[in-house]
Amino acid sequence: MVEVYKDVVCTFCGCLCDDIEIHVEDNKIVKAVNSCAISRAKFLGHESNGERQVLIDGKEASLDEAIKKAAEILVNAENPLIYGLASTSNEAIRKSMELAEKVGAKIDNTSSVCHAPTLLATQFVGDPKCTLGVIKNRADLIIFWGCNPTQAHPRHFERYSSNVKGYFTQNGREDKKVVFIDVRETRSTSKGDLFLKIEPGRDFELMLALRALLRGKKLQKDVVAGVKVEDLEKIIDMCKNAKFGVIFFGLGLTMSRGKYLNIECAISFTRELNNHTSFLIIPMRGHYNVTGANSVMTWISGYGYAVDYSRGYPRYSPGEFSAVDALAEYCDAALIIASDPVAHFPKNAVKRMGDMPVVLIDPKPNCTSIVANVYIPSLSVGIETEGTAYRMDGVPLYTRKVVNGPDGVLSDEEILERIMEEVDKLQR
Amino acid sequence: MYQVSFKLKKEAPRLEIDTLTPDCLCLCSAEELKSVKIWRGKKEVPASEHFEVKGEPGPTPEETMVVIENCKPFVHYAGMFMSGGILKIKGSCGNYIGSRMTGGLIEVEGNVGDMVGEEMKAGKIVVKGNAGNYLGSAWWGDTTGMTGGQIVVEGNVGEMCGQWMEGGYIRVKGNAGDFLGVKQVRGIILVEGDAGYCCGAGMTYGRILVLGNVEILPTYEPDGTYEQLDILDEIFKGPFQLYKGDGAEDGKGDLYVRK
Amino acid sequence: MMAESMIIKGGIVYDPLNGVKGEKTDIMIKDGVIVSEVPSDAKEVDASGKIVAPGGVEMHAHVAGPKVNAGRTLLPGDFRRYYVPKTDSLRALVGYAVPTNYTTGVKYTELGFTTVFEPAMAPLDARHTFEELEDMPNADKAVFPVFGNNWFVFDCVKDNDIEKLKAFIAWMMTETKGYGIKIVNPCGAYMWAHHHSNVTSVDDVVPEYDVTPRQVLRGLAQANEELGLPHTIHVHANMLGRVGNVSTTLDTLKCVEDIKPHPSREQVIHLTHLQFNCFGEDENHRICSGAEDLAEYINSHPQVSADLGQVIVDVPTCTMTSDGPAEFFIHKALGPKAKWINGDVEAECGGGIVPITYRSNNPFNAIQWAIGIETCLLVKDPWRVVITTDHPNGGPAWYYPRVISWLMSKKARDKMIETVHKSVQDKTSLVNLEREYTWEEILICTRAGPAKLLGLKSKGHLGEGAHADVAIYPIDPEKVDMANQPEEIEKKLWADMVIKDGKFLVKNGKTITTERGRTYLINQYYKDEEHKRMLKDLKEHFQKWYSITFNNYRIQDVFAPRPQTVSINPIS
Repeated sequence: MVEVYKDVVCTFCGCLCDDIEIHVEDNKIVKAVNSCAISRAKFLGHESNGERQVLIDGKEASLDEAIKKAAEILVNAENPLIYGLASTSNEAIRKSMELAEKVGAKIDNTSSVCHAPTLLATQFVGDPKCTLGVIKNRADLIIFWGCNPTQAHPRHFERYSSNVKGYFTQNGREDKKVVFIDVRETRSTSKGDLFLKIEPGRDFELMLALRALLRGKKLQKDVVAGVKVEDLEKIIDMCKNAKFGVIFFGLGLTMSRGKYLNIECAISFTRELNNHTSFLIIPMRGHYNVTGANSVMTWISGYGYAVDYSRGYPRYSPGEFSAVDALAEYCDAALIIASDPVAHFPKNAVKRMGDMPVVLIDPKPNCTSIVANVYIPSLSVGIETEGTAYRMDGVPLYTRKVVNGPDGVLSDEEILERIMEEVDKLQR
Repeated sequence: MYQVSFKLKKEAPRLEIDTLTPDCLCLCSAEELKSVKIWRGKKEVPASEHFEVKGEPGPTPEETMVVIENCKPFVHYAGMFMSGGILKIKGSCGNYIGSRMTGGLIEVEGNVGDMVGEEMKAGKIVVKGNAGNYLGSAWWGDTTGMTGGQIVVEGNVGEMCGQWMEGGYIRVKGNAGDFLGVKQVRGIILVEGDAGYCCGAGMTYGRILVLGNVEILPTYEPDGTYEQLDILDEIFKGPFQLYKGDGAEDGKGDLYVRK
Repeated sequence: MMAESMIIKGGIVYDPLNGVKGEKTDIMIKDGVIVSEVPSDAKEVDASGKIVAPGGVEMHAHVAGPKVNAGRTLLPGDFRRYYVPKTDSLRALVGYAVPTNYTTGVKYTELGFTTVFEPAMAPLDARHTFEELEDMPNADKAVFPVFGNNWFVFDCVKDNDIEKLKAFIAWMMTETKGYGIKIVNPCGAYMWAHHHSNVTSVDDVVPEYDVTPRQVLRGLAQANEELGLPHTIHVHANMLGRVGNVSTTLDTLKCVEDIKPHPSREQVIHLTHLQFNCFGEDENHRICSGAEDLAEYINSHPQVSADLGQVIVDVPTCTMTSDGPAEFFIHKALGPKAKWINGDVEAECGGGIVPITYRSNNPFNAIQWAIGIETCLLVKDPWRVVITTDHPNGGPAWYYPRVISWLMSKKARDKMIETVHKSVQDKTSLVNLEREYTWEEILICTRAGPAKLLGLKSKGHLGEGAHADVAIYPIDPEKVDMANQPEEIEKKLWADMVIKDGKFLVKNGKTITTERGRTYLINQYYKDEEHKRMLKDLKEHFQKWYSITFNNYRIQDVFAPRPQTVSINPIS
C-alpha cells in the first residue's frame, strides 16, 4: 500500500518548498514528487546512513543513562555551550533556550557562521523586506549578489523569483530583468540578463560606489572593484526605472571582507532606492530553519544569536559568546543539537572540542559524534516528526511527519525536555 | 592616592572582573575587599580565589587606584562603567575594557581585546600594546559610539576602529586595520602608521588623520592641501591632502592624508 | 494545583458593569470564577483599605508576532539596559519598550491586567504570532488578523458580494484562529507594496481592483455586523501620522454611519489609537489638535468607540504597524540614522517598524502627547473610550499609571504641560480642560469598557460567573485625594495582589508564579453553500498569488493549546 502525502514541507534549505508529494510504502519513502535533487536525496536517502544507537563514550548505552549523563555534563561545566538549532524545529529551539537559562549556558545557532552579519546589520539600520510571494507577484528587477541559487536553492527561480508568473508579471521571466553580481561565473550567472564580475573582497567598495552614484556624485575612479563605472551607472538606471526591485544576497556578501558592513551598506542602498521606487532586500538563508532559530532566540532573550546566560539573564556579544570563539577560547562543555561543528569549524575550536565533554543530539551520526562523549539520536524533523520552521523570508510553516521513526527514538524537543527534568533534579 | 592591587595567581578559562573598579571598591573594608565577587563562567566567586588582594581603597573612586597584576587575555570587562580613579593593568587583558566609562584613567601595559572603550563618554584609556577590533565603537545595534574622552594605543589597532564614533579622540601610534572610522559622525581619529581598506567609509562628519599610507575610496573627493595641522594643541607637519566624504552618505567628513 | 476557594474581604470594590461604585463588600471565588457563596473554609484575603477591581483588559497592544520581534531586533540596547536575572520561580526578565514575551506577560500582570489582545496579525504569519503568544504567560489573549488590504477582500468588495466576504471572514478567523477584523490603512498598504504610494482619502481608487477605502470599510463593517463577530471592525484609519488627518478620520467614521449594528451591541466601528489620526491643520499648514472635532463626533455617534494610543514622551520606544507607507514616512522624517524595517506580505498586507523617541521639546510630539488626553477628557461616555498607548507605538504600556494620573489630576497635567513644548498651550485645548476622571471612570476605561466592546462576557466585571480575575491596588480612595496627589497614582497603580482564574499570581506587588492563559478564537465557518462557493474561488486565488499552498495555510490546533471558542451569531 502506497500512502501519498501531499503538500509536504521540504526541510532542507531556506526555500522550505511546501508542495512536495511524498509516497510512502511500508514506512519507507519511495518517491518524492516536485522535489529538487537535494530534496529528493534528503527524503529518499533519509534512512541510508548511520545507525541510531545511543552511545556514551563510544559504547552502546540506554537513553536514560545518556540523558542523565548529558544533564550532569551541563550542570557541572562552568562555561557550557549549546550550539546548532538551525536544522530543528522552533519547538526544540524554545526548549534549548529554557535549558540554556537553567544551566547558565552560552547558546548560539549556526547563523553565527552564515547569516549572522545580516542580523547584525539589521540591528544597526533595519531591513526593508517582504515575503517571497510579493516578489513572485511584483518584482521586475531581481539582483542576486554573492549567491548561487541554481545549486544552493534549486527551486528558488521557479517558485519565488525569476521564472515564476505573478500578478504583475504574468509573462514570467519575460517581464523581469535579472542581474547577477559575483566574484566568478557560476551555474546561476548564465541565467541572468547581466552579470557583473567583481574582484573578491571588494563588495563593500562597490556598494559604496553605487550609493554615491545614486546620490548623483562623481566617482574619483573609472573602475571600482574590477567593474567599470559606466556599468555601475547602467545598474543604477535599471534600479531607478524598475517598478519593484529586490536584492537577494548570500554568503558571498555576508562572509567576505567587511561582513556585516557589506550587508549594512546593501540595506542602506536599498533604503535609498526607495526614494525612487519600491526596492527590498532578502537574505538567501541556508539551513531550513535558521531564520526560525534567530527569531525564537530573539523573542526569548532579545538577541538572535551569541547569547550567554551565565549570569542568569541573557547577554549578547558576537565574537565572545558566538560558538567558534567560545569553543576556541574558554568553553568546557558543549551540547550540539542538529549540527556538525567538527566538520565545519576552524581547527583550534575543533581541537578544544576533543578535550571537553560533548553531547550530540542529531538524527544522524556525523563528524561531531566522533568526538562526542554522549550521542543521542533523534527524530528527523519534517520526516519523522512535526514542528514549525520559518522560511528565509520569515513565513512560518508546519512541517509534517510522513514515516514513523525507529522505536525508542525521541524528537529533539522531547530529549531536551527530559534533559531539563534531570537538570532540575541535579540543581534541587 | 590609595591603592589596591590584585595579582592573578590562579588561571581560569574566563574571568569577568567588572567589579574590580575604583567605583565598586572604594569604601570597601579589608574584609569586604576579600569577598568582592567576580564571575568565572557561570559561577560568582570571591576575587581572592584568583587574585592576591593587597592594599586599601580610598573613600572615593577618584582617590583610588586599582592595579591588576600579571593580567592575562582571558580576563575581561575591566573598568566597565568606571567613573573616576585609576585602573592599571599590568599584562594583557581581554574584551570590553573601559566600556561605557564616564571618567578616570585606564592604563594597560600589554595588549587588549575587542570593544575597548566601547561607547565611552569621558576619561582616558592608554594601551601600550596592540588593541583588537571595534576600539571606541558602538555596541551591537547602537548607533552612537564613543562620545568623549581619549584612547591612545601605542601599538596597532584592529578593524572598525571608531565605528559610529560621535566625539572624543582616538590616537593610534601604529597601524590601523580595515574600515577605520566607519560611519563616524564626530570626533577625531589620528593614525600615525598606515590605515587599511575602506578608511572612513560611510563617514558623515568628524576628522580622520593618517600619517602613513592609505588607499582612498572612490567616493571621497580631494579638497585642498594643508602644510600642517593642529590637533588638540599638537602640531603635525604636512603637507596634508584633504579628502571630503563619504559621498555615499552625502558626508562632510574630513580625511587628511600626509603626502 | 486546583484553584482554591477564597473570599476577598474588606476591599473597596469597583465593578462598574454591575453598578458597584467603591463599596466595601466581599468578593467570593470558587473554581476560578466569581460566586455568591463559598465554603466556610474558604481562604480569607484581607483587602481592607485597598481598591478591588476586575482584572484589566488590554484591547490593543502589539505583544507578539513577526513585527514585534523585528522591533526587538532593532532595539538590542534596550535589552542590555533592562534586565532582571532569573529566580527560583521566574525566568529572566529583559527588555523595556519591546520586551521579551515572557517579560511582557509578567509586567502586564503586575499592572493588574489579565487579558491582552494582539491587534494586528498578518494572517500568513499566524503561526509565529501564536508561538510568541504561547511564550507570554498569564494573560488570556486573542488576535485580530488584518483584512483591509487583502486581495480576496478587494475581489469580494468589488463585486459587492457580501455573502462571499462573510464566508471568507469566517474562514480566515477559523484558519488563523483569529477573533476580530483589523483594518489597517485600507488600500494604503496595497498601494505602498505595489505602486510605491499611499491613499490620501477614503475615495482614492486602487487601480487594479477599482475599489476604494470607503468600499472596503463599508463591506467589512457590513459583513462583520451581519456575521455577528464578538467585536466591531477595529480600524486604523488612512493617513496616519499626517498633518490634518482628522478630516480623513471623520470621513472614515462617516463611511459606516448607516450600517446597522448587530443586535448584541450599539457599535459598528472601533477607531484605534485615535491620537495618531487626530491631527488638525492650522492656517500655516502646521499641526494642531483635532481632538475637539473628533470628540464631538464620538459624543454624538453612539456607533463609534475608540482607544487612545497615548504618546509617552522622552522614552525610547518603537513604532510598529501593518501600515507600510506610514512607517516609511516616519523613517524619512526622523533622518538618516533612523532604523527602518518594511515587511510586505503577499496578497494580504504590509508592515513597518521604526524605533522612535518622542521628544517633549519637539512641538509636533508635544501636541501628539496632548491629543490623547485631550480627546479622552472631551469624550463624555467612558464606555466608548479605552486607555491604551498602542503599546509600544505611543510608548510602553508600563506608563499606564502615568497616563491615568494625567486623566485623574489636573495638577499632574499642568505640571506636564510646563515641561513640554509650549505649542501645546496654543494648539490644543488641554490647558482649558477641568475634567478629572473618577476611579469608576478609570476602571471603565481600562476594564469594563474594553471587555464590553470586545464582547467578552466573563471579563471586566466581578458579577457571578465572571472569571475570577481580580486586581487589588494599595490605594484607599477615601484617604488619598488623587487630584492633589498624582504621584500616588503613579506609584500605586502597580497591583498589590493579582488573582487570575482564582489563583494568586502577584502578592505584595511581586509576581510569585506564572500560569498559561487561554486563547479566545473563532472556530466556525459561514453557511455551507456560501463557504463552498467562496472556497472554490479562494483555492484558485491561492494557487495563483500565494507562495505557499492552500493546505499549508490553516494553522494547527497545537498553536492554541488552551482555546476558548467564541461563537459567531449571523443574522439571516
